Amino acid sequence: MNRSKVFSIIWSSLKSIVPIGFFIWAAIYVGGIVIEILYAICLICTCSSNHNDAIPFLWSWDMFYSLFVFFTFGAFLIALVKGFLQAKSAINLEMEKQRNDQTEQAIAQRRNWAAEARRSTQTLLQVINHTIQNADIKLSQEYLTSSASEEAGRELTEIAVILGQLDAVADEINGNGGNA
Amino acid sequence: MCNFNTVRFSILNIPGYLFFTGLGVIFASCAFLYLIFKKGYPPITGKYTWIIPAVSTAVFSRIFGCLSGIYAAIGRGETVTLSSAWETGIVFYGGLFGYLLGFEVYRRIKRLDRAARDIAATVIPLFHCFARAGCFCAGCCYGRRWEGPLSVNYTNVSGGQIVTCPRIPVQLLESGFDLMLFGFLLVLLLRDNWREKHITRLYLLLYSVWRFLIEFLRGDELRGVIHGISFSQSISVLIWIGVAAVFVAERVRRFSDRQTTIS
Repeated sequence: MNRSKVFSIIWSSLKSIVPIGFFIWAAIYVGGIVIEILYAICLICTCSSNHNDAIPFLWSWDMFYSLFVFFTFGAFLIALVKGFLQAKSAINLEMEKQRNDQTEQAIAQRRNWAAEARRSTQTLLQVINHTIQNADIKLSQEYLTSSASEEAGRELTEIAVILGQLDAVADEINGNGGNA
Repeated sequence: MCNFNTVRFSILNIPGYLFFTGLGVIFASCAFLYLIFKKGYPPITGKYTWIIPAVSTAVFSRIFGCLSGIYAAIGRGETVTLSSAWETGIVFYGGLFGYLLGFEVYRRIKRLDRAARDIAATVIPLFHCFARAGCFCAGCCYGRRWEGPLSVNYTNVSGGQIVTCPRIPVQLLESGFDLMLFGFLLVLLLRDNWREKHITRLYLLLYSVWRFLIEFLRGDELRGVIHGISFSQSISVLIWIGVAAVFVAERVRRFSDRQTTIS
């Protein structure tokens, strides 16, 4: 994940949460006005003269700007932490996806090798069976090659290659804890 | 003995209670976001779903404040009027109930599992630690008159008058306890088997026991007392009953499941 994407995630978090701090500050003052008005209406309706301020400290206008900075800065800090964690989560997700893709490729490769080794082993078994079946045929004094013996010779010379491939596949499987 | 004057106390021109509560919200929110990330939950999304627990906390803390006013009027043997319910403050237990209820709604909307509730419960004492420091600065929830060790020569407004006398700093004691409780719950949460620890239940039980005991050191009788038991102590007892009921119900369900498996 490139840096610009990380910054865009953090920026979108800041854009969504910092205004919330501003609105909370505004709501406290507006809410204070509404509560005071409602309370005054209630006192008037009940003819009660025992009036106290509902939330008196909200009406101290000398804290107006301090509260604005406090709420906005607080929201900024929370947004920064949230954006950072969101970006980290996105990075972890992308890395895990890449790891899974590589694992799938490796699994497919090992399956191909196993299939090839199976085919080679099958051919070898066929050659051995054919040789056993023709075991009572006398061999000539002269060295003669037939197609069968030529094929047997070819297959037998490839045994080392096939065994090497089988060993490689087995090593791969054992090395990865049986993840083939 | 140190002196502390709460009348018009402010930090950076912000009232002490609001300042510390704001700090508590910032720290608790950051801790919650980090723990959600650490436990592998999806990141918190949605601009407006966080409003549900926030509004619920504010509304229920005020509702419980009104209820405590009614409780106090009954305790004083007075007629319960609108002003006895209205001319009160906010109560922590109300905020706690509102927060847990609001978070439960949020959890179901976001389809998080029940263990997410434990993460929310872990950060509550962190917020409360700061809020209690705010109470100390605001002059509310103060302790009994006390001239022994740890006493503070406390100036605050009590019953409409400015009063100065040495008191037990119960707000700071509670702040310290909440910080330790947060540390304890955090250690449990960071373990691998954290889902089996029932952290929410543990928090409710430990805090309610502490609150029941510390209430005996409180000096603000305006909060209401009936036969020596305050409103918060009554709520603590209800919490014990609730936690015990949940515990028993769980045991009965496990026993009946086992019986069904055997048969």
